[in-house]
Amino acid sequence: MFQPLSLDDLLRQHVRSYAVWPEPLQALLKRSVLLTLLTEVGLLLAFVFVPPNVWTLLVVQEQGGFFLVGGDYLNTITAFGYQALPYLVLLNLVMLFVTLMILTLTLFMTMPVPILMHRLAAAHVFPTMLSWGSLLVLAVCFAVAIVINLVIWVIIIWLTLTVIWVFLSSLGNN
Amino acid sequence: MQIARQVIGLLATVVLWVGFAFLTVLTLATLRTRYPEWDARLSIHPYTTSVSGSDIMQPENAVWTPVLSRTPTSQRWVVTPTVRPTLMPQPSNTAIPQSLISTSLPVMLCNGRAPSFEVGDTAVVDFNRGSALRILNSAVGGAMQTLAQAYDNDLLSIIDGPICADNIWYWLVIYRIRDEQYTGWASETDARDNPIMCTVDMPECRR
Repeated sequence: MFQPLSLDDLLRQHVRSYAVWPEPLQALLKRSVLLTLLTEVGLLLAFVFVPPNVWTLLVVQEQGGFFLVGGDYLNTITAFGYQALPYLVLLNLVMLFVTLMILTLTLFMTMPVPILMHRLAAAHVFPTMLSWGSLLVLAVCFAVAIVINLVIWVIIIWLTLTVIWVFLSSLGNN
Repeated sequence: MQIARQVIGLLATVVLWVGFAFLTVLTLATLRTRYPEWDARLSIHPYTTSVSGSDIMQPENAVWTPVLSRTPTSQRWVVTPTVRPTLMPQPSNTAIPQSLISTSLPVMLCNGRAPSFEVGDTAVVDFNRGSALRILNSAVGGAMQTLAQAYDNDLLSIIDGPICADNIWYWLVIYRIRDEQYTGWASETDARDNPIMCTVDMPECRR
């Protein structure tokens, strides 16, 4: 039996909603996806090719040298970082998979994709930021310890030179 | 123009997937090597192990005696072939020069380096720059496993090993300091292959 169809229904059935139209990724999103790809690959390559001794043994065994204070604190941080590294690496591996999925579905960001892919591209940056953020925290801790120890060394050297100068001055006065 | 860009995009994606597969294999292999606990997690058969034939040189006249050992607290057992094979007497009409026998013996290498000690030896810690040698609860696992620190000229009694971990020989040692005694793993060299443990005859062996 013939069913009358309104123009509004006809439009709804045959025209996809503007909101779900496929669209190319925005320039900012493209840059963030590429940057995420680079950082993920960078971290994985660093994990594979940087010897673990660089992160543990060398720092750990250099106590009593430059680090007058905070050596144990650095050791704890290093040890924690070393134990957390596998989890960060696996997280990066999964996120790299997601990145490659986005790049595949967008044909290396040349094809328009639905809004869901845009949201995925935006969201998948955060786990990578988390792993790099934790590495950044480690780097900042190291930097703080290095600066503190540097200041202590400068004070020690300054005091030593002052004492020598005072001693030599007193000899000159006599 | 658009089609050309898409073809290039497709090729780039294929290259990236190949790279991803390669990187995944490399990363998982590195994880299994550096973190033994991950080895069991990632393995299909976590309770079986295999020894590569190329890692073991088996001369005709040598007998390997595997040593089953484990770290003081870890439940993970490690099978380590002994460094020195036991020679079985072979009937022969011609005497074999001793020098030839000694050079033909297989030697276990770690990062191209043979171990410098034997079980039962006493080693001297050589650190002239104020550093310390960590006595570890496990040969792998890093500084979190530290039991104690041995300093320059401290003595270590070697009771087991060696184990090759992270390209460094590790020995199970007893370290006595004042009234306390620690049993743990100590590295023979540092990451730059400079010796940390020296023989009693030459306690200042560090270059």
